[in-house]
Amino acid sequence: MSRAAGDRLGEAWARSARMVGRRIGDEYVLVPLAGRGADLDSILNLNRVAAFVWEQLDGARSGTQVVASVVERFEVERARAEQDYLELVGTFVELGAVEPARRRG
Amino acid sequence: MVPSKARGFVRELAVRGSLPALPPGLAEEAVLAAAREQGVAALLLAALERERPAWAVAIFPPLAAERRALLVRTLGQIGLAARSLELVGSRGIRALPLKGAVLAETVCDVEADRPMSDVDVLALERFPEAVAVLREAGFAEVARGDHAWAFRDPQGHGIVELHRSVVSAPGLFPLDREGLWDRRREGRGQLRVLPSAEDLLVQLALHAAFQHGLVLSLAQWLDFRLVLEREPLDQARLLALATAARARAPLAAALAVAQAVTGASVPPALLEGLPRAMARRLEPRLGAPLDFVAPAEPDLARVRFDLLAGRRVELVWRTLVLPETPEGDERLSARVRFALGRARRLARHEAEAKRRAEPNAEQVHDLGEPQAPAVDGVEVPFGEELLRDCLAAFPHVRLSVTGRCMEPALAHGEKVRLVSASRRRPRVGDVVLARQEQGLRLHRLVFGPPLAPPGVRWRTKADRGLLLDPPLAAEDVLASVVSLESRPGSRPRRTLRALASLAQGIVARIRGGARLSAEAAS
Repeated sequence: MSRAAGDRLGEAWARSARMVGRRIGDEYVLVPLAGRGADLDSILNLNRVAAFVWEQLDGARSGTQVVASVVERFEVERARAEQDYLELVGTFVELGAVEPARRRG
Repeated sequence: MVPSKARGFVRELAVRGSLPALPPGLAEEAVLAAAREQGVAALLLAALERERPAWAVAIFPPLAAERRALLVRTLGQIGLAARSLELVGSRGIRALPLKGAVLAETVCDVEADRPMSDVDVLALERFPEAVAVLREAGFAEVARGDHAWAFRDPQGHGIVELHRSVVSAPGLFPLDREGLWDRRREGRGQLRVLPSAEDLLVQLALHAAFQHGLVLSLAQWLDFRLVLEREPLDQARLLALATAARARAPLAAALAVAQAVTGASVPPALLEGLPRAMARRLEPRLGAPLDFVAPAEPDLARVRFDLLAGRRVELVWRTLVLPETPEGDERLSARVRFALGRARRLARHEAEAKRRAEPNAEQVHDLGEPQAPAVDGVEVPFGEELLRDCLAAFPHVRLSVTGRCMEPALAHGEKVRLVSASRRRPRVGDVVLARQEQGLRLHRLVFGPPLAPPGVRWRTKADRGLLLDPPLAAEDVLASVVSLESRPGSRPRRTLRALASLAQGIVARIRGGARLSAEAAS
């Protein structure tokens, strides 16, 4: 794992207030709340793992802790879970869906 | 058109929480249409996801897509309410959200469960300043009533109603402004402040009983059940608040109907307080719950008179004497002078209306410009719920026409004034706002009163169309056009034109039938 990736796993991320996640029936969707309200074109569907990760991003848990929860919940290998987590958080950061919280050691 | 059997089906679903057996002959599309009409599409989809009946395969995908769209729309609407509250709050004006937006963020599982036509905000003080704040922020006024002004969001198409009181005739049900603010709760979603659960229930009851004459959509009746089931209500406090707001009768009436329509469990103490005459009239009707579900026509005047037993003079006074004149004069003398003038004008217009319908300019409520580019046949760009609310609340509603199928009688972009069918019975020759299979349409009534016997379905037709529209029930005709703004002298009702159009439609049908027969024979 690169140093940058390791750093990112040490960080905690918080869901942005400008993004709303909702479970509706079988789906889990993220809806960005832009200045003019929600935008149908920007709605995102999350799979089960991504939805689980999204709900863990409370600004307190570090990436390492979230990955540990994913490994425990979905019985996947740690390396795979870390990779998925980092990709997902990268996407969330690009979308402005999460904001950095405090750094953890 | 939604068959009543389909409404019965979705009501049964709402009561039981699970799918009833699909009655023979009821198409799944009709169930879908009924669920949409009643604002319970999300409820239907949830039941379909749980039970996966074979008959619903075709309606599953559109419902799922609709739920996502509803979620986005509702979140945007709540955002609009939050923004409006923030704007007026920035000037130190205390305000609270009302009804749908509050329910969507409190008792609903997901915001998409509570579709809304608009959002409501109650200014607890300095109403004119709150209006000015919204105007400065670019909100455009689209409607004005004695209890609320409606504005279009400059950043989108949403409508926010800024209220000075919960329902019409401000003062009839006194607002405890300090108490409302003191009892407010913190919101956990986009809305930072919420009314207390008890205040919310009193407000819902006033809205249902006094504003809408005890006829609401199924989703709105379900609000009562959700609040009763999911909010930690303090019954003693609720009754005290209702008593202070002089709203015991509306509360009891609304809860009695909610119980009948949705199977809500209502504590008996909350059902007390109905005036005797109202109880006598209401109780036998509770056995037919669909009579209280839109599009049933409310007997608004009767319900208001019944609710206000012992206070009817005050009802008339507060209905006539508005909180301010159109010029913004709040002095009693000015308001009374305006009320007398208004009563005179109304009486004169009432007489004139028999010869030529001509509305009162001060009471027109503008629903604004078309939101979408003109598309053939799409004539009414607003949701039925919003239109119904406006028609019920305001004497006249102004609407911009889109489409060209009624030219030259109505031109694209022209503004028309509508009066609800409950205030003015439609007649043959009128251009009417009617609920068709494809949505709301402004077409001419070519068969109806006084020609149609009671119980016989009415017919409408576009002036430029060849064929008659499908037959309509009387309750599917929501309003009539009473004047055209750009042509003040013109007469929208054309009886001879309607009869000629009816004949043309019949001939076209016969020819079409003959052609089909010939094709079948060949």
